[in-house]
Amino acid sequence: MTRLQFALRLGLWAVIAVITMEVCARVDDYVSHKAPLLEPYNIGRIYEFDDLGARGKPGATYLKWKLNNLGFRGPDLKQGGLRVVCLGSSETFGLYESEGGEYPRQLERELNRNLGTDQVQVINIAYPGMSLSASLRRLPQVLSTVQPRYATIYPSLAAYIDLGALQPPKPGFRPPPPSPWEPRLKSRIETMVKQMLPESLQTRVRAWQIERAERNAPVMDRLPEENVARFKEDVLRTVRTMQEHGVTPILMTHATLFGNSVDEDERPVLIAWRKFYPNLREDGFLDMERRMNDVIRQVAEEQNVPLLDLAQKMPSGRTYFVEFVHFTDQGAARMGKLIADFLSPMIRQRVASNTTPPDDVNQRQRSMEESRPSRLSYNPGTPRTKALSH
Amino acid sequence: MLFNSLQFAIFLPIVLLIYYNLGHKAQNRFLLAASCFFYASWDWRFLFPLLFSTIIDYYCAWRMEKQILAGEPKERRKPYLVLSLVTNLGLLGFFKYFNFFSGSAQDLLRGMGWSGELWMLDVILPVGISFYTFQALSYTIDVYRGELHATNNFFDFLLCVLYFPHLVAGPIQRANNLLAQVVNPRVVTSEKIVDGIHLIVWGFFKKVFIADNLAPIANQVFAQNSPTGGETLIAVYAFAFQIYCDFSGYTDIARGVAKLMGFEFMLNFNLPYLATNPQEFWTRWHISLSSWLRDYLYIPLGGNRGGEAKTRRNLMLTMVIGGFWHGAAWNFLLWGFYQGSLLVIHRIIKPYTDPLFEPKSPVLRRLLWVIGVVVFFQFTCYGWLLFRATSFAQIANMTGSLLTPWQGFPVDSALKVLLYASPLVLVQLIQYFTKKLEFLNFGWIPAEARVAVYAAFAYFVLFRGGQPQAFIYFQF
Repeated sequence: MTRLQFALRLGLWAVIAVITMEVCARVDDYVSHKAPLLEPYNIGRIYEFDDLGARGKPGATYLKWKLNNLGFRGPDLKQGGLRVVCLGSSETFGLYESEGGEYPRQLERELNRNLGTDQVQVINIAYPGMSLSASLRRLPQVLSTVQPRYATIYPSLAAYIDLGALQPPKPGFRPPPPSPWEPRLKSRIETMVKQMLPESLQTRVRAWQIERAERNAPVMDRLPEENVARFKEDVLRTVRTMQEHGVTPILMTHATLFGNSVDEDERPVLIAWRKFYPNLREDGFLDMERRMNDVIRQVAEEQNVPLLDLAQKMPSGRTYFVEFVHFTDQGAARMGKLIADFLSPMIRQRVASNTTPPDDVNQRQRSMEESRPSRLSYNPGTPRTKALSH
Repeated sequence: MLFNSLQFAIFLPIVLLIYYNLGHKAQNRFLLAASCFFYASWDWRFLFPLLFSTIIDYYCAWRMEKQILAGEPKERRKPYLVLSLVTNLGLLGFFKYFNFFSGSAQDLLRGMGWSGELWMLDVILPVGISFYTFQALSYTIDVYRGELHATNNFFDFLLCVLYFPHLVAGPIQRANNLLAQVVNPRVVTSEKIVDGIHLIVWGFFKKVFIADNLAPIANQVFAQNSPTGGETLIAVYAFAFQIYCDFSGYTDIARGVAKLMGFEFMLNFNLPYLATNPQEFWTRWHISLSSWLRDYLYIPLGGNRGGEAKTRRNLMLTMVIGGFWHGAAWNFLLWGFYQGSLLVIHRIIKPYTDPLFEPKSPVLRRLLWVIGVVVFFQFTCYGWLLFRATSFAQIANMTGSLLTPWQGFPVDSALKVLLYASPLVLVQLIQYFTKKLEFLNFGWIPAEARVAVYAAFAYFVLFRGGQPQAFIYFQF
């Protein structure tokens, strides 16, 4: 056998090996997740698009993520009961937590345990990568459909680094469908390499990638005031939209792995995070967190909205955070408990003074009209939670 | 540096690349350097006890060889054998068993009202010390017996002990097998490479896909205070397959890597869970250890030469010491005692049960074989419960849970055990009935199809493996 023949044979073997492994990956996805064999299979499966942008596709599933018949992560809505919606982004939707371990689900369990009932439903209306600005476009529609009593707001701050990305989509815009032949082996190999490479080497690779990205865009040391102002405007609009729909908003500050101080050993986490937003320097993220959390506190105070200061209350560290902002199972459990402990007294107070059946929509709307003058002020005694029977 | 690590995935190809381009002597020196690097990657200090015992063993064997050549009587060799035994077992005892004996004595004295504290060592157990100690001992004992010529090249002997594929978890190579392969030039053929790759792929599959996926099922139950009977049963089954796939997976990788360099290691596992009695089991499980214990402990104790009572005593002693070899803990002693008891009981009932297993009808014979395998597997599994438990209280709790009425059954865990163990069971049944342990190298199908099969195995190893775990036998 000549060298050329040997090389060709080796090449053929490599091709056979790659094709076999790709087939294995597809069969594996089919067996494990009922994924289609010959269609694209990625996170895009859970979205559909209209003129307002992306929204959850009812009944869609991807890996551990399952959307209900309204297109929200979690179980289908039950009739009756008291509903709480969780607005946010990937931290709320849940990325790394095991199935059912994302904080909205844990919040539901904690609330029902605290209140000794099974009538509280928590609806997770967040999606990965969804800015507050994008959520706002669809918020009235969502609130009308779900009819919650309370809404927690846990916005993703990094979405405000690039104001251009907050623009609404052009009318009629739909992203091109992905190719069904997109190799499924690719993401597996990437994950495997990531798991195998030492942290220090990964940090070097990321730093190199950031350096390359820096060549194409100006780099900011600090988030401009304009961006912070836009964030404040969106928080304010979110609060008002909720109040207009008779929903009590609960603002929550944004917690991170670092808490109040940066552990220098954990600095590579910031580099990893910056890979997604290369035009803001590492320390700029910490500054952004401080300033935007101040904005949330400020809005809560100005609008008399209940505030849960998670940036202060969530413990820091790897036990609770997988990386800069996303939770571990334990982190999500702690989130659920903190929010439940904050919400439970408010719900109890409402139940104690309840007068209005919650499922009578007309009555509910009348109640909203009657309460309009005080809509922008926080009044935990607003009587609206009769359905929560004890 | 674990076999299932990125470091080893980089280390091995580099070693092979250089190895294939060297002559025989240079290969040996290079392998010695690579093995030192491999071992020092855990902790460079581990090299010192190994070098110390190797120097003593080399010296003792060299002196004994000189005495043999001079025609001196066997008794004159004894001091050198004793020196080698004391050095090797002394080091093993110091590193592995000192704290156990000190702690046990302290517990005993405290039970008698004493309140002081005995001295405990604050040292790390050198990885693989139990394995290389037994291997080095086989060398000096064989030379003492006149069954092996001592080498006059220290570095060849050092390579025998230190050769990285078998260093940390065996198979325990006899010097008469390995030394000859070190001293003489080795030939690497394409058949050896194919066999080596087959062993490595199958070894990784057993370790990463089966053992590592079963580990959490067993760990979760063994971490509980009071598991139910069903949970205990499934956890013990999970551990039975985990430990087998973990250890035999390691051995297969070691044998495969050695084959890539032209070495042949002895077979360490031969379908042990298809044994129908304890005697057969110990000819199939960890063969390198059981044959070592037979040749260097059981037979010198008298074997089966001194009557039935002495044979039973020798069996029991051998198995208890074999159990204690695994680790400095009471449960390993208990496990050894349990295995010894099984062997003794089997020896007693054998004359009555053997005729039962040999009916004339082949169908009935096969059926009885199946029953024998299934029944004896339960005994083996109970042994694993003793082996895996961390205290007597846990053994009592879990045994009690098996014997009291069960509340519920962990169907999900049972299905998982079935899912992960089924490829192994299937392959082993084929190996058993075809009598071909190497059938998985697929020599009978075209190379292209073989590549596809290996790629499928590689997929499960790379992407469907469990959380990476260290090899269980590394701790021994």
